[in-house]
Amino acid sequence: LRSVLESRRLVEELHKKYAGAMYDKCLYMLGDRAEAEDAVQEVFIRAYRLLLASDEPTHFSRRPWLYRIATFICLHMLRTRRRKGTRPIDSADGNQSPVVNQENRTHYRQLLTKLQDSLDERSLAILIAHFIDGMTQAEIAESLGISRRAVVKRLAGLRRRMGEQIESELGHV
Amino acid sequence: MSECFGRYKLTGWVLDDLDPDSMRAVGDHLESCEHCHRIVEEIQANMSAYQENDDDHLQALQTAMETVDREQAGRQPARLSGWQIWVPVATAALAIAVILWQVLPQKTDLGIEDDQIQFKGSIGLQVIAQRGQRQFEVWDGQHLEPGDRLRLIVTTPSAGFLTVFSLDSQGRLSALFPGSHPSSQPAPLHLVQPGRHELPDAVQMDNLPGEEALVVFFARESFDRQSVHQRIRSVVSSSDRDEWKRMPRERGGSLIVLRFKKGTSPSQTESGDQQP
Repeated sequence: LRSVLESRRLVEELHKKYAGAMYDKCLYMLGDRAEAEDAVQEVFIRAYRLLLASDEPTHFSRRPWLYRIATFICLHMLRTRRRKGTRPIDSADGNQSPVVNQENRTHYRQLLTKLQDSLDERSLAILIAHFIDGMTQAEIAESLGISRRAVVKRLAGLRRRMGEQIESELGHV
Repeated sequence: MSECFGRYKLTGWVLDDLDPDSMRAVGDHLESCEHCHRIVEEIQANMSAYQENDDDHLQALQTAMETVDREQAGRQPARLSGWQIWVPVATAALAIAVILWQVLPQKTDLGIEDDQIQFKGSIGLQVIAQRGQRQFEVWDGQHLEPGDRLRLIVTTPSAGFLTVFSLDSQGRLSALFPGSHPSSQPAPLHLVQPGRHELPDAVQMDNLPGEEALVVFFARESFDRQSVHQRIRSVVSSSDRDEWKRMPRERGGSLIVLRFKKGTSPSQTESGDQQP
């Protein structure tokens, strides 16, 4: 197994390079700066735990891996937020730039929370990667550690199942 | 104008984390696409906002990692429940082996009489080997293969100083912990607390064949590594059977020697401070 020292060094290196990007990604998904900061912290702690438990080589694709971790952490936070009912989702963010479809973002967060009841985590992760992060099928496959064919099939299945709702509501965020 | 890029790709461009063709394509697109350009500005603004408190974030992360380490240390017995069965069995087998060696002494490739090997009660050494997916504990005399990775766990009764090195059948010493040559770093590894210490960074087996030994020397007071290494070297070449027992006593420390055999690749040996 990878040593504690090596894992720490690697996480600190990842944090230095990608923490800002993870913050942007988490802020985009959660719409709240404080929650996004917490999420980023969770991302790197999770990464540290995973590195400690694995002896995978250190030259793996780091950014897709961190995106995958961040997606699942944000989904978890959205679910917790909804369960506790502590924060109205559509009043989440007041600080983001108004230039990029701010209304749609609030709407997509609501929709995402709704979809959590009917979709499994992996399907949600694929939806987020495709519609929110704007990843290509190859990038989604790399990020989620599945084949590109599996991504294509899963997206087609989701389109069939959810009809036009996905395209119309998530397609323009 | 080319098709717009997703936020993931644009973030990759901001981070300079794309292949050269993609970097060029995104750069060209941004020159003519106001929409993507604004998204890039937003990504940059968010990244800068986070990086304003980068030191605080890093410090919080380091604290959190320490908490994880403590948690994991607390869970160690549960995770290694298999060891709870195997360690007593291995210890008993080792004790029997030591007794047998004492009854039937034999000269080894290392020039160490078998009954000169000491297993001092005051410090402990556990060596875990990883071969592919398989993990196993290394016993004295075990055969190891090239590529095997060893984790060394040393248990000490007090705070103190440690040096770990390997010794090959030609009498050559290779520093492992600290990893640098004793002439450039004469100080041994300082252990500030007693107990179980997993030495950082696994040791990987090379394909040089022959018998080798891991040697661990621990003392409460600091010592000069080079001098200890030289003393061990002289002990190895000595024909005096009691040298191995005298050496740790005269240095006020404890010594453990764990021997193993390596694969039989015909590669040439080399000198200097190499990993085993």
